[in-house]
Amino acid sequence: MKPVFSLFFAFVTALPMFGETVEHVEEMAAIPAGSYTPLYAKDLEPVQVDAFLLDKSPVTNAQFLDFVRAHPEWRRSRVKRLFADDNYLSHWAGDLDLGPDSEKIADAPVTRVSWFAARAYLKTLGKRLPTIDEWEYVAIADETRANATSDPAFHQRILEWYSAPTPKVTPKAASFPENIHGIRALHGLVWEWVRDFNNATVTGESRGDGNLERSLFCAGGALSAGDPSNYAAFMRYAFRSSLAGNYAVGNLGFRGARAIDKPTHSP
Amino acid sequence: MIRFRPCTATMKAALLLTLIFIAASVPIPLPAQDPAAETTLPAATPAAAEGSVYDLESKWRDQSNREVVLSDLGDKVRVVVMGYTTCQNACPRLIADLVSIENELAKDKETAAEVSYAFISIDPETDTPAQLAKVAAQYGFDPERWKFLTGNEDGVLELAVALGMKYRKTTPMDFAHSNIITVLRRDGSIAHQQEGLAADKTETLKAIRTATEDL
Repeated sequence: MKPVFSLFFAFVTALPMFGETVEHVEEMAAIPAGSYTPLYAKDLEPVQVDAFLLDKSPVTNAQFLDFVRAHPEWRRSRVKRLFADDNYLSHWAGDLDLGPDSEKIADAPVTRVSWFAARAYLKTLGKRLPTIDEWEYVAIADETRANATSDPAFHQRILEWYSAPTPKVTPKAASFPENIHGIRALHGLVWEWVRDFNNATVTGESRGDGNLERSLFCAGGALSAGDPSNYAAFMRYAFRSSLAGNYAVGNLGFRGARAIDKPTHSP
Repeated sequence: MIRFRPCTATMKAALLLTLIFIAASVPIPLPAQDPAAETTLPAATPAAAEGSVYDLESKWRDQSNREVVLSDLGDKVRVVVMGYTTCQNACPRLIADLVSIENELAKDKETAAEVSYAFISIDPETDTPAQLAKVAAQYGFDPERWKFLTGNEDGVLELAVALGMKYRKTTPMDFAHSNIITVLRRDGSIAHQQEGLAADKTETLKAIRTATEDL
């Protein structure tokens, strides 16, 4: 329950591992190895998460525009229906046109992108989507603590966002504070794709089983009875389980992750 | 049994908007103390309902260790399951369900000739082509009609997502996964999905027959 010190230690020792070797390092932050207890943990066992790199902010409209310019098969008029539904990039004025609000939205997170499109974008940069465990692990941090989950105010703040009306124009991530890892806007800006959103966790294996009661139960058990504190995480799992790989949804964006190159040990 | 329900993009968008509305625009009711409280969510319509899984470019190997791409499964109507061969539990029963579909279709030679089957592994580590060959031989499957495929982690993930299948590695040896039988049209789009083991196959058979009629 006191991972902060060891996290810090892992962080300092992790630093020299990636310094020179990783491109785009300025837009990514090193997340130290650690553990967290996922919502679905029936067995209450914390999950170990290896150190990795995560984009400090979600991918923006301008960045995604560069990608579709270079990869015509991902333009909204050409994309295959398996990979993106007809809501894909529908907030843009055209294939390569952000529209009249272009200046406002260029640096805001791109939304209405499918899981397949997010993966294709990240692949061109040698990145991937974070896993659920990676994302949720980073999401337990706030500005000063690697694990803020014991603080009711932390959960309250997230729930307040979930219950706030969606702003007309998506704000920029830059207006959000960095969490202790240097990551902005995991909460409060847009929902984000994860690599294994189809993970059989809270909802069980049954895709058609929209009934989360058993799982809620299970989460309740994991969090001790009547503790609603991680209801925000529950909402995220519920949201993910309602997605399909080609859904392009307003409010749903993504950011990239990447493994930290393991240092080679000489014997 | 969960039947695949075709759903227009507008309906789907509406469904999602509703969900997001619930998630983002109304105060969230905290979980009731009453454990019977339920949250019901719509099942997602898999990506391959609108598109073709044959657009996936992942590479696979079959039980004869030949490299294949998914579009090689096309041409005929393909009945597909995803699982892993070392599974002691659901997967043999899933294969048994496929066999029972094959047996039922065999009564009509013309339809049967237009249908083929695939078992696609979600466990690339254990399910080598040799392991697949062993299992295929054990069942005595006609290799012309039955493909056993194994690929890589990313290919498995993408196909599972395209088919709306959930899975998770639970131990180094085992997976939790949806038990779904998918009927693919010749073009690789989903004609029908049957969920659950030993489910009533009436609708599946009907969907297969209809799909064989589309040339």
